[in-house]
Amino acid sequence: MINIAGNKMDLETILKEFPSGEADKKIVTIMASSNTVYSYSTINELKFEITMRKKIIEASIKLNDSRFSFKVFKKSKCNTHFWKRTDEGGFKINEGVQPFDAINDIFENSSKYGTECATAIVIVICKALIDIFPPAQSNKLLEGIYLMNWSHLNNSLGIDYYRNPSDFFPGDCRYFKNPDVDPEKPEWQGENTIDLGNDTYYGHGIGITSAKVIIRELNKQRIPDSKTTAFLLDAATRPDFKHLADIYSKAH
Amino acid sequence: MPENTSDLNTSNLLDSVRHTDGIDNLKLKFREIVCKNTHEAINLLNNKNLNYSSLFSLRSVVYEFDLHRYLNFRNTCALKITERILAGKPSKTTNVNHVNRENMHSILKWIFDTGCSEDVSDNRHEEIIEVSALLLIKSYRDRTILRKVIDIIFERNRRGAYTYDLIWAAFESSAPDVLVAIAERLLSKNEKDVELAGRLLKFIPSDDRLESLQQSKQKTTWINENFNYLYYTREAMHQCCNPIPFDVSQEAKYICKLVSPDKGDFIEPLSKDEHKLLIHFSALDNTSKKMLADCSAKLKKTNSDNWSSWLNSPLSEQIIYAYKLGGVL
Repeated sequence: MINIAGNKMDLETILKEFPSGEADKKIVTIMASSNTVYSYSTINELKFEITMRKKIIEASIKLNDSRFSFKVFKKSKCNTHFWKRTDEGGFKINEGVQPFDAINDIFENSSKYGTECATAIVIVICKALIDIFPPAQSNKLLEGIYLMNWSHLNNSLGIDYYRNPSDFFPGDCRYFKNPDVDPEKPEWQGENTIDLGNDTYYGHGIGITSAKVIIRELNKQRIPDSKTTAFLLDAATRPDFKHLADIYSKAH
Repeated sequence: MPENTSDLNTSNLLDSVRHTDGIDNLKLKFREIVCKNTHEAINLLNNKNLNYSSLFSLRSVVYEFDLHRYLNFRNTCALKITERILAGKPSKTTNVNHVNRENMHSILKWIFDTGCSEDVSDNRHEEIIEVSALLLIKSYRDRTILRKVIDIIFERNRRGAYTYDLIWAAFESSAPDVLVAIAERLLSKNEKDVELAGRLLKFIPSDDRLESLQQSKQKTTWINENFNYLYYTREAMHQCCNPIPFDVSQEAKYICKLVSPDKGDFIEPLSKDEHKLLIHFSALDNTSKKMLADCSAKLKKTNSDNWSSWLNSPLSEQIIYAYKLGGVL
């Protein structure tokens, strides 16, 4: 159910606000038909969330189409003009460099970059953000950014992990877990992905494909004779859309 | 070549040279020994007291003089494992031909035990130690190395080196002892230790308004109070920003029975009465469950007789008592 400023909205009325776009319709339909109440203070708050989810999907496709490579942290690489590669394999923004430019460079000079799947997802979320916010605001939100899996996230993004949510939406980050991974290949312990809708996921290193294929790829990297298959977790990682919408609305 | 076992309690000459004069001088010295007396050189390598780090440092010389043909089983396997890991060849859990599981375990353990504390200043040596640790913990369920693994994690963290795979492996051991070892670092004088320990134990509840020392004490108390009832959830940093790797089995805490940290199952079968207690308990909401479980563990610790009569009283009376004891509903 969707609730705007305390009023229950029916699907038909809401859909009029989103005349085009398959993803928009899909997200709104899931929300409207859910038993969970999705509450927004304004229609613009909902629109912001849907726009950001679409931007996350677009950024995933862009990154997948680029020459950004898969590298384990020990062998990660970056464009040192914008980033400093730390000893643990993360990318810390250089002093004097604007996050807006540094994130865009990952997409423009993608062959100079390589890292693991979790960091790729953080990059995708940052790219979605800078595609929505103007440069000055993006720079403020991503100030001092350090790209290193989920460990050093900027608080301003409000990224959180939701266990057993009632619904999943395109633009969610979903995790495929591989419990019996070969211990010599810890990078295959799971795959962080972006839900692109229609049972397609972007996972860095695997590409854009179905859940079945991702599970099959992970299963190839298990200990010998394992009978425990990889699986998609009932959880999602999301930025704090409402918090970001609030920042966005104050600036516009 | 026979193994020299004459000086089990003394350090190996090769280790001594490496410690005092460094790796380059060790290679020079070893070359000298090979030229003068090959038999002695091989004996030194095959000696039981040799540290893996010396074998690692000398492997180019070993190949140069074709000494690998005379190495004992331990060294032969250790070198094969080393070369395979460094070549990054696809493994099926370090499949070295003709080595059974038991032998592989003892060789990996030798590599780890005698190599983990050695300063070889070589990333490749660190990699071998790391992979050995991952294999020992994940494939051989060896928990004896966990303390050392935690030491390595914090040592690496101090110099900003890569720690994530070892952290993952330490938690994958599913041993709550890992939490105890990490919690000790909350009181370290080194800021980086405290920061990492705080990050790894972030999932343990504590009052954010308190000073860090008080929070550390709360976390340590939580670990001690729940130690027997903790189980590994398999949540890892790879999958999310705020993993909860260990959770408390409130059912186990309520009836004060040990659980397997690996799966959260009861270690011993439950009696009929215990089954009955848990049926009623399972109908409660999470807050009430936690309150009763906390109360039960406290009572059991302070007065076993009182605990027994409390546990056998009606659930409504248990709740009233637990509430009076300071529980929060």
